[in-house]
Amino acid sequence: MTTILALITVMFLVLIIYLITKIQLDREKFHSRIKVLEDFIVQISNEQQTQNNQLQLSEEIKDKLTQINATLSKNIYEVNFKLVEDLYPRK
Amino acid sequence: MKKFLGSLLISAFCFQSGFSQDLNKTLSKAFTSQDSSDYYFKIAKILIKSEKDEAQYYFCKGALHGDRNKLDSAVYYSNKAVVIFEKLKDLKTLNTLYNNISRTHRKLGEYDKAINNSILGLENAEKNKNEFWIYYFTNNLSVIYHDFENFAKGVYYGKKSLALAKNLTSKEPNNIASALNAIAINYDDWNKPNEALYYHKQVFKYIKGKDTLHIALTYNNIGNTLLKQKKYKEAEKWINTAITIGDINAKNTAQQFDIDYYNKATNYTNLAVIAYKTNDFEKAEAMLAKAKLYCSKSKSAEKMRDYYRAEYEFNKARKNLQKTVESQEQYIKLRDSVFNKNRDKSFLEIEAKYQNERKEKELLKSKIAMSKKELEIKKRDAQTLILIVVVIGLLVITLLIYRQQKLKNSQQKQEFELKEAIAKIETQNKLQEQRLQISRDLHDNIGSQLTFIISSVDNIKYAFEIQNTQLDNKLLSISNFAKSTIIELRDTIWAMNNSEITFEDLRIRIHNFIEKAKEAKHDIDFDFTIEENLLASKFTSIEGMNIYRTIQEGVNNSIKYADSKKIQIRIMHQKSSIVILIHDDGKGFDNKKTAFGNGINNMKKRIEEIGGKISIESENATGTNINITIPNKA
Repeated sequence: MTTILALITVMFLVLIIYLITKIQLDREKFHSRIKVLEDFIVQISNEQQTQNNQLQLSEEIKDKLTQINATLSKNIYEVNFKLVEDLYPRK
Repeated sequence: MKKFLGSLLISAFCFQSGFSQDLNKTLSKAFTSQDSSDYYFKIAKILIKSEKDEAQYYFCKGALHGDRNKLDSAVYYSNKAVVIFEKLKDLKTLNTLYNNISRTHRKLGEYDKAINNSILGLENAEKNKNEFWIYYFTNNLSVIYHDFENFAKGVYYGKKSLALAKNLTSKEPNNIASALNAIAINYDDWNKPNEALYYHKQVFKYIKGKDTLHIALTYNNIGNTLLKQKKYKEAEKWINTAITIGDINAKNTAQQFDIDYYNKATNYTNLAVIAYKTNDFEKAEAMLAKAKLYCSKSKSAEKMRDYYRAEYEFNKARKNLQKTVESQEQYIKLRDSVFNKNRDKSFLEIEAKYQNERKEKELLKSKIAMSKKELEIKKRDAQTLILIVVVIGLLVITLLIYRQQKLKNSQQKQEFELKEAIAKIETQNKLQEQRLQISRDLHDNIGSQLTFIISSVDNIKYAFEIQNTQLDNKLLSISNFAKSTIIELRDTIWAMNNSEITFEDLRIRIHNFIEKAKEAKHDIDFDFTIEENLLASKFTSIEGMNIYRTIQEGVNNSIKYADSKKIQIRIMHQKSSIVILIHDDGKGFDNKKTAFGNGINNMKKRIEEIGGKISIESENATGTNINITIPNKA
């Protein structure tokens, strides 16, 4: 009886050690997997940040283009006005 | 009893299969033969081949001498047999032998020796774990103590033997009856007739009908007790019944044993007492004569003693002084031979020795039992401990499994969330990429369109030889505007297409810008320096573009409004920051009175956007200092 119970105890101990080791290994495996994912997230977040910056610059260009458009339209209008004045002087 | 003893002897006689058949047969003949026993014993002696044979030979010889009332010889041969059987460790036969010797000593009135042999037998039976012999020797002790008139001990052993008889596996009624009888006779002679009668009558609970033929002694004993209670008629009736039973038994058996003579001696002695107590001296005399005959036949010292006491009292009642004295002397002589003080002392010593041994055995037994119990307790404790460990182990395992499952779930959830976030970011990135692609296409088109405008304007100017200066200036202005716009857009698109910008990149851009400015303003001296260790510092495209635009705006302001001769641009590091200094030696302005336009506000906005600080210091005619501090991420 005592021997059997001692054997069971040893088995339990082995099982406990096995479970603890397994939990530890699983945790490490998970961390390494998560690390890869986190690194990937950092990478794509950086990419996103870069893209955001690029988009911001793109917005800037857009604003600039609006200004350019307005300026150029005004200048062209004035050139056209002058040309018309030259071609058809006022009587 | 007789049957029993006979069967004992015969069974003992054939007890060993190892004995040679010839010796067995010869000893059997010696035992049964009336006249030629000595002859057969001589032949048997020749046939002895081993120690076993020799032991058997002495055993039979002792038993036969005992039966034939050659008591000293019986003791001599039996003791010889005991020595050999003890050597051979034949415990079974030793039981019978010790009983035979004890019985012989009892007959001789040597009660100390009888007790000693009964105790040896008892020890042997205990060693042998033979429950019958344990009972038998205990019963013997009760009877011997009775004979020795130590009634208290007689009752003690009698009660013990009764308990043992009741616990015997065979539950033989005769054994119980013997034990009851032993107790009763002790009480009887102890002058406790009520107790004696109680135990005597208990016998009839176990022995009934035809079997009462075996308990003639009980009838006599009841008569004896009644006699002591002076119930003479009643007593006589019981004793006569005992005599009748004895006679019937005698008719049914071929041979008369000592025990039969012993019983008859008792019966007639008792009847003689009743006779002289009732003043029937004639009858008393006749009874005493018969009693004397049977007493001498039984060769029982005890019976002889009883007889002489009865004779002495009879003579006293008859007032025959001379005979009274003679009988009394005989009685005293016999009594003293049997009941001397030394023997009593020896009795006590034997008893004490036996009791000590018994106590030691019990002590040893209790010690063994205690150590067993202790061992059991230890074992139980160990088992309990291990059980506790097992329970704790189970709990720990359950907890571990639960934790592992919980951890797995949370890990899965975390992983799922991360994957979801990745998917979301990737989708956003894809969308942004698409938007960027569209804007890049748009910017590419705009560049070519602006180039087209410039070339168209230039072509118009040269093809049509425009005389109108206003128109010509306008066209030139459009061309210059388009050119500057292209440069500006090119810088922004360059920044947009780079994820990271270093000071090295910025240095090239700023140099280009200065060169262009020099082309426009020949009289201004530009001094641009950057610390070599800052060249590798990296910025995001927005940060880089904001720094570049701020420097550009500062320099432009100096060119446009300061009327300066020298413009200095210095980029250096200061602790954990990067400091950009733009200094001109122009006319300056009053900080307090001047309201800043869009240019300076944009500069502030851009620097604040990248986490930096900008300060503009200027005084009239002392030039302007623009101090920009941005964090150094390197």
